[in-house]
Amino acid sequence: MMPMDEIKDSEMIVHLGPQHPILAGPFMLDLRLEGETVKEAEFTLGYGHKGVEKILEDRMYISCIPVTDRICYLASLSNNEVFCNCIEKLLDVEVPERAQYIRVILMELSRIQSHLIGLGEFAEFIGFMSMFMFLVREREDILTLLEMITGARLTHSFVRPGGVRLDLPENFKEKALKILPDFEKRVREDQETLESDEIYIERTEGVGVVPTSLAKEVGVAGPVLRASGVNYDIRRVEPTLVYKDLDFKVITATAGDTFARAHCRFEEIYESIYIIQQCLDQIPSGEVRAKLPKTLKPEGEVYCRVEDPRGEMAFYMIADGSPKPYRVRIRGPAYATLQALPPVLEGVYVADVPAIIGSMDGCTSEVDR
Amino acid sequence: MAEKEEKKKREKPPEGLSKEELKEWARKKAEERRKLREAKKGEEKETKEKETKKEKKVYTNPLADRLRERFKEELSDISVDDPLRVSAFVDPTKVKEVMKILKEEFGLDHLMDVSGVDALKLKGADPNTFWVVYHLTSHDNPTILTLKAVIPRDNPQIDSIIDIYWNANWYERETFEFFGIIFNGHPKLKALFLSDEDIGQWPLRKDSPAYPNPNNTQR
Amino acid sequence: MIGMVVEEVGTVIDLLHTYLIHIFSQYPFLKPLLIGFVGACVITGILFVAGMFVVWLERKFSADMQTRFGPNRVGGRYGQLQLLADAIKLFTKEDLVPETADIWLFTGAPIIAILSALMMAAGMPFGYVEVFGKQYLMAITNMDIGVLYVEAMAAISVFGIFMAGWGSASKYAVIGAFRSIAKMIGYEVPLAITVVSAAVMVGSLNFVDIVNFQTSLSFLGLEHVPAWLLILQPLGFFVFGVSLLADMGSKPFDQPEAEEELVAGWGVDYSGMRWALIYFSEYFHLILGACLFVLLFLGGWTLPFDMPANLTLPVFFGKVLLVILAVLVVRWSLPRYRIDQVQRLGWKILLPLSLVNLAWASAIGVML
Repeated sequence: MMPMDEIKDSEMIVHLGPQHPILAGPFMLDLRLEGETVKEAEFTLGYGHKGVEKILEDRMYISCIPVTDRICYLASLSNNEVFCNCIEKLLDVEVPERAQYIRVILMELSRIQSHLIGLGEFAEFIGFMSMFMFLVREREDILTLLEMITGARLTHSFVRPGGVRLDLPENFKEKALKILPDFEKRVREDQETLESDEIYIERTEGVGVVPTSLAKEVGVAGPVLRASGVNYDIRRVEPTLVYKDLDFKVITATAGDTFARAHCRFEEIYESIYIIQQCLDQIPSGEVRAKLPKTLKPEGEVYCRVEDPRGEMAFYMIADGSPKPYRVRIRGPAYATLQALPPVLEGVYVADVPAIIGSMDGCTSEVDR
Repeated sequence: MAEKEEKKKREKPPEGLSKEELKEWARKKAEERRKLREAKKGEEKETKEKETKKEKKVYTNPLADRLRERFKEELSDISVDDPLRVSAFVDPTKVKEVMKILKEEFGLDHLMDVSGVDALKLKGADPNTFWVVYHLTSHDNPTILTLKAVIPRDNPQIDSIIDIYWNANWYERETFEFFGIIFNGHPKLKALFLSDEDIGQWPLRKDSPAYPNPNNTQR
Repeated sequence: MIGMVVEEVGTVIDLLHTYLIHIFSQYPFLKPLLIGFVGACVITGILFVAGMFVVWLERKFSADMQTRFGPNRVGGRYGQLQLLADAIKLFTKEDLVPETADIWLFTGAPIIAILSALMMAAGMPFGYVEVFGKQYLMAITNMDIGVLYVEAMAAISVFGIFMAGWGSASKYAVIGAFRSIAKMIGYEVPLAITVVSAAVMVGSLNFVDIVNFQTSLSFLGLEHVPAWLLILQPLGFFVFGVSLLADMGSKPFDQPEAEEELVAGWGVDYSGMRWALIYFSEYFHLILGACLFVLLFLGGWTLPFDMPANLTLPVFFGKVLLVILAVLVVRWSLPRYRIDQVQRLGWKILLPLSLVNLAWASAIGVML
């Protein structure tokens, strides 16, 4: 941001945050405005910095898992997943196939609920309060399923090195197969309500465009990248677990605007439902957890990534053979996406700023990890 | 625990035996059990030996071969840890040139991460160094290239790659504030997460006290 | 027994009436003063109660639309007294004035806002009441330029908003105030033109005349078809409806206080009683806007057949309630426009349409 005395009389600096209705997690966005147009945007972060990387260095591997939950509470299962994945790779453990399927189910469920919250907030940011309520209502179904498996609604801590904590509950398959089609129908209804709205279209189409080249250059992740026309999904690029046996499309769009991003998220929800249904059909019986020693002492260096709801979540772990990790570096997708926000925000109207932030679906908790 | 279970499993002696006969029966049984236990131990040892004998698999990756050809001086220790992971050490003074070539010739257009590692307590590494670790990949190819630049601990400086990869900005700022590594040429090298007063504590260095108690090993 | 009591009361009222007439004949200036005072008290009281009812209605209604419960604790399972509790809380809160605020503008803004709403109410008739054979028009004044007066008073509220925004010395508030002014200029023009076209068609600016005109299409020989301007000027109805929504700051047009961008826009620094006044004035505008709408386009208190005078008030308020519900549906089922889109809608669509409507109305008016 420019120093104060260089700012013209017709301009002013408006702070979005750290306390602001649109921010679930605190960050500050300084906007230099001329009238209603944003001339420059700058982030200030760190209001909720947790120091997860340092905490992880001081924990036994198994006690790290609950900490990874807290990196982003909407994607806690994929954070568990990538952390355990690192340990498994270092220990060279084969995860039982049933556990792999359960993990895929969990990750997809968590993707659905995260997308629903993201879309709901996005709708709320352009003033569509009712849509937020509708989508949160649909999300309740998914949370019920997650709660059935893990016993928790937000921070699950369910994935373990070498498998998962528990097997699926007895009637899970029937219940899921009953809930999911109905759920999909209702989400499709909501999507139609939203996307057929004239004002919504006017507010989102052509707003906050991230062209393909820019998207690659600034390194945005996940649905934001795919909405800009880049076919890049870790589930396809570097399949972990049983993703290579499953059939799914990578949703892409070409427009790269806020409408396309929201659209991609909706489509990914349906794709995730399809994946879960396949998993429930194909899941074999058997063990859910490989036998591992009580104290894990992996050694080596590994870089693992999975497809988080927001994009590619990666952990870089250096283990030195002691019961605690030597260094864990967390590379979050929301961090990468949020970093790309200031260039996108230049030149837009101030009313579009919340819409663009909402369509990026940034998770401040993960950025401030 | 195992002994208790064995006790439960123990057969009852046949009835109608005299005391001496009972003693002898018990001795026999004890011997059998001992043999069994020894046999088990032997098996475990064998499996353990097998496990340790597992040889490190050797993978190949075309990127590694190309790197070996292209960078004879700049990169060292190019290894393939996994079919999709290539790692190498890079000469810290030539980071910028290497990155430029990697982006333009090798098509590694996606900088995934820049992070720091404090090698103070790391086995097999010079304790007086920091590593700056770059993870590069491409949007078309899943191979991830891990480049490590080893820089001295008392003068932690390295060139910024922000001119080449735009998104190195926050990663470098974060590495700066947590490790005190100075990225020369970064236009705005200041704290990203920490407040300005906290600069100078370098919390992620290994000699910075960890929260809550660094000496507690049983958590 | 009851008859006797009624008779007694009747005689008392008669006595009072003759006494008042006596006094007014001696001191003629007292008459408007007394009527004004009593009317103001009654209207203010009714408006506050109605405002609270509408707030409660909106909370319950929006909760229903969003599958929530809404207020369900205070005063019973429908949360009937929630608003009373809120009002008590707000009126007993600490009165905060920001240090940098311009104290005159800051304190004056809520007064102007609420005054504008009350002045609007002063010029509006709501129907007839028949007591002991005498018919009274339920209005403080029945002006011949009533329509223009109400319009003007409604437009004053924007001064309150601008004073609040500017006086708070907050950036959000200033942006909100600018937006408010820009929007008001854009929408007051088509609004005024449609009101004028309604007056042109009827040939009067008096509300009673306009309402009586809308009773039925008897001049065309259709006795039981309402002559509502909704039917005679559908275009005007549309333009007026949209402009009125914008004027009330209802949902697709609530840019001045857009919560997601400007926190609460021009009202961001207000709290306690001042905020309550501003909040109430918004709901007064909603109610009175609905009243205006009913008077101009939905035939006021009339239905296309004869009915006793005492039915006029329920009919009128029934129509107002329907309009309010329609506004609430719109408010809770649409996202918000951006300010430039709002301006485009106002100047490029509504203004030409209102002019077309004016031409249409004058043509029909001449024919009639």
